[in-house]
Amino acid sequence: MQNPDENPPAVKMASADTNAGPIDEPGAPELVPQIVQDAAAVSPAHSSKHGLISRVTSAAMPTMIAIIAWFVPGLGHLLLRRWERALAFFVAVGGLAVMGYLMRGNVFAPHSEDPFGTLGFLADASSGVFYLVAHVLEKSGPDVARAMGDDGTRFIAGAGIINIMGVCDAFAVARGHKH
Amino acid sequence: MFLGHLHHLTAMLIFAALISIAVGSLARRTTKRRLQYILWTFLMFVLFSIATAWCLYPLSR
Repeated sequence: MQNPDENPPAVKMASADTNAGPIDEPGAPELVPQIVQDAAAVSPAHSSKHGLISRVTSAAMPTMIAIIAWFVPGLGHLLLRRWERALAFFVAVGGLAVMGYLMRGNVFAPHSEDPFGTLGFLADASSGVFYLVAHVLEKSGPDVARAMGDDGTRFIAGAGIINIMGVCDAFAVARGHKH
Repeated sequence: MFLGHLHHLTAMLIFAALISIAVGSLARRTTKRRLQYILWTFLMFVLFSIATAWCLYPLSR
């Protein structure tokens, strides 16, 4: 004969439910403490304060990864142990941004009355730390009167847009929606 | 250092290569398939850019 203590909680609940009948009968109230007790036995971490903190931390982790991936292109993937993607995004975003600055492309300021200027700022700022070092690499300022300066503006905006792709991918990987 | 002397074609090739690296790294699972996809994306990028440039050429005259 099988020892009832060795049964998993789900089996115990099912057998209790079978004997108890409808939920409003006298046997039903005894099920509630049994279910809570069994759930605590299966995953004690979820019933404790530390378990709650752990769940909150795991829920916030994809957001943290996304912020890190935005600030330093490729670092989000590096923390997720996706080495190839980390290297690819760092090289692509960094290469585009640095090339754009060296071609004297236009770096859009945060406050712009032109809507396209605002969109340009959002695209440029999406390259994270590379946006912050723009004034270091582009000391002479933009020169969009020349064709190469105009191309540089596209390089800088392209870097930010590619980094947004990387941020979205790192977020999806951190949430477990993608390999 | 200033890259203002770059040719348009050179700039386009560099742009295509860097974009292809990023896009290709997202697309496939194995390293070999990724490299193949990066190369394919780069070739398509260059091909369509040159084709578009020739389509727009009559408008520039």
